Amino acid sequence: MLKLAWRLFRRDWRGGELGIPFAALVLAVAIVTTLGLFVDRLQRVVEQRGATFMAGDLVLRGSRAAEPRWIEEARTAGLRSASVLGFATMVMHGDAMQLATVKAVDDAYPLLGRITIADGIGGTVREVTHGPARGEVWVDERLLPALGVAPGERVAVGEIELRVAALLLREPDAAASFVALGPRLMMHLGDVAAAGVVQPGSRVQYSYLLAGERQELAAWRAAVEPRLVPGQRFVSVADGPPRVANALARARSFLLLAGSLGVVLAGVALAMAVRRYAARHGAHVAVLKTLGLTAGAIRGIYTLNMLWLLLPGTLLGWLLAWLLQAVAFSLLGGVLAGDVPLPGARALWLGAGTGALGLLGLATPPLLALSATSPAGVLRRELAPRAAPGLLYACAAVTLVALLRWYSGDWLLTFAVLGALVGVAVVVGGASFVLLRRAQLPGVGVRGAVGLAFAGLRRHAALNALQTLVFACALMLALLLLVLRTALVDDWQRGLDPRAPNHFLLNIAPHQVAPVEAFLAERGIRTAGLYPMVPGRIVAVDGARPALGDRETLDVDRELNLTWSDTLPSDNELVAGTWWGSAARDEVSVESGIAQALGLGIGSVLTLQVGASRFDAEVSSIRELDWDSMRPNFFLMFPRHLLEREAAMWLTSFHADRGQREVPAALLRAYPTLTLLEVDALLAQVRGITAQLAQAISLVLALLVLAALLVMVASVRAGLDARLQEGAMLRVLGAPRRLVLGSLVIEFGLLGAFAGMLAAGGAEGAAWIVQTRLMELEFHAHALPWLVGPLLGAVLSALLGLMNCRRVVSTPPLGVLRAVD
Amino acid sequence: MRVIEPLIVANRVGKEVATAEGPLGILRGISLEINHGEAVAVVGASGSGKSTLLGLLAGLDLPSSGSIMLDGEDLTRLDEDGRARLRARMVGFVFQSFQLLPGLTALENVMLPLEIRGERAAAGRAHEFLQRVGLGARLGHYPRQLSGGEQQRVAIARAFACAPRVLFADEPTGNLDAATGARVIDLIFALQAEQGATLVLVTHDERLAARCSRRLTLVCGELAAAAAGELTC
Repeated sequence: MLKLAWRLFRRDWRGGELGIPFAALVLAVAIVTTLGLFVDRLQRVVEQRGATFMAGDLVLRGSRAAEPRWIEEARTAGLRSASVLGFATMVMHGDAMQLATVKAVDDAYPLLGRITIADGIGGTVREVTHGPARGEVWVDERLLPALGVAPGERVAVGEIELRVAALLLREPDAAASFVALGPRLMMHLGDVAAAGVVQPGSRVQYSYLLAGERQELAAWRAAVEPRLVPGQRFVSVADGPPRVANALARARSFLLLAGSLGVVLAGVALAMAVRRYAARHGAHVAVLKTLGLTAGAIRGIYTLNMLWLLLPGTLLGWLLAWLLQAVAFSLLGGVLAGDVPLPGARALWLGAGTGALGLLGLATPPLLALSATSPAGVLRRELAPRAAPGLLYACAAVTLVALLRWYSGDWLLTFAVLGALVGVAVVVGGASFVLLRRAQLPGVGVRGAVGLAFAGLRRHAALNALQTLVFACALMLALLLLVLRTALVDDWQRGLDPRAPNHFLLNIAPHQVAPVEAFLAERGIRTAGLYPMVPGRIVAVDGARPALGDRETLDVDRELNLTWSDTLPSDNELVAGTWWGSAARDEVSVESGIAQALGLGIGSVLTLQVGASRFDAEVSSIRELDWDSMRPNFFLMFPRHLLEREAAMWLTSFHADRGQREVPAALLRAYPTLTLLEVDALLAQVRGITAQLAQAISLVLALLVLAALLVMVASVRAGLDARLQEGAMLRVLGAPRRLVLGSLVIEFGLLGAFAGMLAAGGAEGAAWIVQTRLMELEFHAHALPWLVGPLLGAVLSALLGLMNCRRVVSTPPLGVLRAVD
Repeated sequence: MRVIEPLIVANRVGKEVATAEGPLGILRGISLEINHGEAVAVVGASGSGKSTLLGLLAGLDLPSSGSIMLDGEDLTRLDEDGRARLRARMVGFVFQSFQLLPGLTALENVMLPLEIRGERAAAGRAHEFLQRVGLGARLGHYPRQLSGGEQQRVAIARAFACAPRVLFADEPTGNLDAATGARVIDLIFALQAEQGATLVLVTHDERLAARCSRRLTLVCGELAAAAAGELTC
């Protein structure tokens, strides 16, 4: 039996019968693997780029030093580590002194990313992958005039003198030292002890950067996390700058959805290809049965046939996928600067699994149904197998659910995608069948190619409805992804308003508030509002110690920056309660995220500790705000009377463009005690990452369009025999080449345009759901799908029809009739 | 005295198919016996039920009523697989439209039933029979590379290579010109005589029917003797 099956397989293979299912299998494996490899690799790139924001993949940060054995365990686990100590101290040169934000780094710093330094003001700029050597410091440009020091001279840090070796222009984890108290200074960690600036009780920040493989990092984090003491916490890319974290999360949702749709498309293409193979094999099975082969033997032979396809199909699919993603990444070389990490093995298994499950669940059932073919069919030439469609559909549905669940790891997404497809299938399939059956031109008796085309549409209503359905679904998925991609990129670009504030101004004393605002206004600069900052702590919620929900990572023991204001900041939006008027009570307005984390509602009472005083405030409103706005944002805002008496330093942010470069420097000269933080570099990094993501998702979109095209080809081929036979008959009856081809092109073009129109409607509906429910983006109706859909549908369909049916006119009709007989 | 049982016995066989207008009777009350080594022609007008009868006698389909014994086995009591095994053991077929598998060469098509029976020397025997039908030089040709007459000769080689006890032929010359048809007829009868096989063939071809030892005429689904007096359906 095995031997016979192998011989039949070899002969079928040689005879070209297995070519189409094999090609579909290879493509199914290739598409899913390519998407998997690409997404995985892209995610690694993006995480790596995100990680350079932190100079490592993971950071353990805290006001206390980590246990040395934790770091030892990390090294044993194969992770790289670097230590960073942050503190503020006075730096002196001669009589001049300036408070500086110091970052002391060891030899391993930075684990990821580069530091940009310059020899002097306007000097050569270099990128290096190490910090300053012992005995040297790199300083912020602003420290030079403040101390009257020049590069090469020495400054005193505590008890030692260090040489100013370079200007510090940019470091990868600049965002980490966001609350800076003065110009930055970077020194070697080894010099800190000798300087004697860090004493027990000093306010310092310990950061331990770690880099390595994801699994090892996760394992180490899981082992250390329970041992952390209050004030220590982990920071990963996901906790990084909110804009990057949001962009990453949305890109991941997009890629997951795209990949899931890719799995569905590949599965459908495979099922359609095998359906045609099975239809053509009805006659073979009838003959084999007359020759004495039993139904069981026939089922065995076809199952083995499919299994034998699996191994070479998977290997070839993998190879193709590897080449495709390599090409994709080499195309993106300019955008994805730096080394691109290699993808993991999961994508390969996912591709192989899709091939295997697709073949066994989607392709084999129609072949097994062949075993029910009646041998008497050879006499009557009725060879349609008595398939049980209910069982076939059940097999297909179970297989698709299993594949999608495996791919996405998410039941909700699985059923959302499948539910949407079934809904579209029922509506589109039914509507197309009814409309095509009635397809008629307004003028009666139109002759020529147009008349023939309309007759074709009517005659093949069922086949055409299926084809319209497949085309509409494939186009819909492609259009949906196009719409989502546009929405994502728009959102990223909208958030990155070039007029967004690029300077933060801190340490403004109360008496400086009015003059500083006037100084900036005179030079054409508007601030994002000035706010007092009062450090304080939440000590109780409704009289009890604050408790966090299971999944919240907020550090309740952390000191928060509180503020007061008479008016609601213009970019904040009230989602509950009301803002206080002139007669404010002891109340507080809470940011929605922290309200959720602490389980706060209107009427909850917070007890706060500010300096030596403690007071209660009732939650009277909840605000939503945009953390990416680069404006001063506060978790808790109070009415003036509650905080006015507390000592406060004020802050603001503003945008200074290229023509106003001198203004910040002039401001600092006029008010030397202010601290200015430029966030241009940070913004540039954010822009770089989002641009890269936009490129990458465009590429994924292109791959998905390719998969959709494959399904369209499979659907055109499914109805090929009937069309070829008709075309050949028309030729036999004397129809000229132009008439036959013309009617085919018009028939396919009309079908495609119709499918494109349905697809545009479907894509808009699906985009609305995905954008508002899944990605939390604003939804706007798009004109693009309504233009692109019908046009693309008509052109693609006509081209595919022409390519597949040109045999009708290029070979003698008898040859065509024999071939399809 | 040893009684030799007929090879095929049909007893009051009827066949109905369901149509939109209700059940349609194709065969009614067919009873017949065919002996070992006999050559029987089933003749009749188009639509008289000849091919249906052939399919039932060969176990390709089941009758709606009555019973059919083939080599002592009641076909109506065997399931599909049981009938398939019986065919593999003792039945050969030749069809009007040849029914060769297009993906297989002439040699492979002939080897197929031998392989299904699990014969070891399938290739040698298939080669020998293709020589016998005059296609020794066309072993590696695919059906599409052969003429109609050549394809039917491959089908004859496929049928006789298994040395069947009974050969069923459905209009074996229906798709062939007169000269080619005559050669195919000669070949079938020569091999049948040589192997002592029973031959049941359906035909419109008078010359072919005349070469058989017996003729069964079907009129509107009934055997002519039973249908005497009924000239129209």
